[in-house]
Amino acid sequence: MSDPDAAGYFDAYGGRWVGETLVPALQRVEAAFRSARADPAFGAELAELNQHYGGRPTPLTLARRLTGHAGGARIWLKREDLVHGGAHKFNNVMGQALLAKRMGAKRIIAETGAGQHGVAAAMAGAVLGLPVEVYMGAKDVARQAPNAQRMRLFGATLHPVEQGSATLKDAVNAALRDWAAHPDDTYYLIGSVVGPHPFPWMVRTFQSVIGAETRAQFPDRAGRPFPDAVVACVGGGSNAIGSFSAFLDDPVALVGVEAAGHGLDSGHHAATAARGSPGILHGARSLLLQDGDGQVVEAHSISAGLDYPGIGPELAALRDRGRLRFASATDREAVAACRTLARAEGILAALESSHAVAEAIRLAPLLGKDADLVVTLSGRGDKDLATLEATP
Amino acid sequence: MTRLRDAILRARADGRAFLAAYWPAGYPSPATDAAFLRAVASADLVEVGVPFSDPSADGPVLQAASRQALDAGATVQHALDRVRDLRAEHAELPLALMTYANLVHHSGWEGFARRAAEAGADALILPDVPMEESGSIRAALADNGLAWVPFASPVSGVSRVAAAASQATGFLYLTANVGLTGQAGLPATAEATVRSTRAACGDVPLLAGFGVRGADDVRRLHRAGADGAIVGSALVERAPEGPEAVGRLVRALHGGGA
Repeated sequence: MSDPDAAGYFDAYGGRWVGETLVPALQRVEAAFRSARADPAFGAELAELNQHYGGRPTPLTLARRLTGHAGGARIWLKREDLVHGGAHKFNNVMGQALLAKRMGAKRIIAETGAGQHGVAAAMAGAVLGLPVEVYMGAKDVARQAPNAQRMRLFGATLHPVEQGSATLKDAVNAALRDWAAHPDDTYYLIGSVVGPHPFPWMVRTFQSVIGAETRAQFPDRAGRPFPDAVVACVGGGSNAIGSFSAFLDDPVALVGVEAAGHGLDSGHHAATAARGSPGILHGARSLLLQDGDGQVVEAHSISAGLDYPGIGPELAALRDRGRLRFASATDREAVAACRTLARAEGILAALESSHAVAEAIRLAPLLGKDADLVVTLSGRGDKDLATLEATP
Repeated sequence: MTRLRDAILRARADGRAFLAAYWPAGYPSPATDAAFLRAVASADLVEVGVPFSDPSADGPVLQAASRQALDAGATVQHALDRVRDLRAEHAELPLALMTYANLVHHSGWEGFARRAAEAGADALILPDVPMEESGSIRAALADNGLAWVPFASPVSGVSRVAAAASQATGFLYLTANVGLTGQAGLPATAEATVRSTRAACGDVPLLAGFGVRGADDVRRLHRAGADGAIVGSALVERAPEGPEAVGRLVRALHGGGA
């Protein structure tokens, strides 16, 4: 999809549904992003950080034994788990933190679910010399303790959020409230392709390095121009749109995998595209999980990073256009896929990414042995050891 | 459509401060909120809050009140029923509904505006709808005879304040503090903010809130050029003392313009 319109809409989704206090701040972020994007020096500085600090480009690994296990298409893994910090969150964080510095921000605030974005933001704050404060649901602080520890080691201040469901949705609310109280000196470094314009567009732009690399690497590695499908998990959707955006005009099936939690009919899931409807949350019109009155309902997933009741507006628009198919994997299927991948390839994927692996294993035999399928491994699973230990 | 605006202009002509009181429908519970709403009805305008799951403009007091009301079973229909009750008891009292965009969007802009008008509301206030997004809801409100209340903030700047004021069919809502409802008090800059907002908005009805706690706050805002003040969190904090205590605070604030 091309860039959003002047009001920040991807077709019917997006916009800037925020309090008046935040509008001038968002206008400044948008102006700074437009200017940075056109500035070769900004691009060069980001490319330098990506390569020599982040370890990009990441490999495109052929998962031979997983392919054999699934019994169909060749499965390729785009290894965002190998980026510095252990997740794709790095790509967006470095871009936005450079922007914050360019804008003269005195402090950075961020929300985090699984903690991967908080860790990345804390890293960026350390390496660029900016103070970082991270809002994280109290429930997530408990279930992702290693990431909470890493953030503190990098010098960030962690604010556990007790309100609401004490997960990602409430952490975003807390960060938005902080920003509304400090719109002049604070930069809100949002972690996914959600929120008010220009965030969904900006985060997609920084994450599109995933798909751009994949598209450049694939012909050499596989001996044909395009994979048949690209599969990525969707919470807010930043690794998904980052993986897909380079392929939108190509003959490639794009599959977003949502968290089905205890099952799509259980009432305990985070499958917004499957079961949501249009609504307005966190500054954007998109798809939402909500009740008959429009109250936002609590999402559920075993993976804290997918535990979000919305998706990015651009993904909602691509779904409506029919360019993107949504699938889902339950908690149980994601854990099983995580274990299968670990034994087959010696790779411990994050539980978020394991949802995409589950769909890849399901899809591979349907595509057949002559086909190729790329799965984005958005992050590594070290943070999930306690959950994996506790899950039969 | 003009009942709210006319009431503010009458207060202006009388030289007294106009007082708006906010109360969340369904708080402390759907069974017990009526006495509190009746207690705040001595204000010049009652803003009936419709509790929302994600109240991004609210501080801790109103966040907790919304949560409690929803947990106790408050619904959009309950809030509309409470407006209908107030209208039955107070034929001429200006009444506004205040909530967040999603609850209105979910009913459909037109459908919600019709329900609000049928219940007897005069105006709608949505703190997460800036002027860039307000076109559809303003059209639906106008079609149903309801007034729109846009926001201005200390960081808006002259041109945005003027543009917001030109959309105000009820009044212009100035947040005297940046940030959230329920702050400890007005900032030292409150008078300067009111004066610069007044300079930019002309003679449009102007009420200020976000940090109003006592009669002195109302007086400060009024003397600086606002037509009056809006109080919410300070009232809700009194809920444990009962509706009479809440009503006493409303009356005390009402003396603020004298």
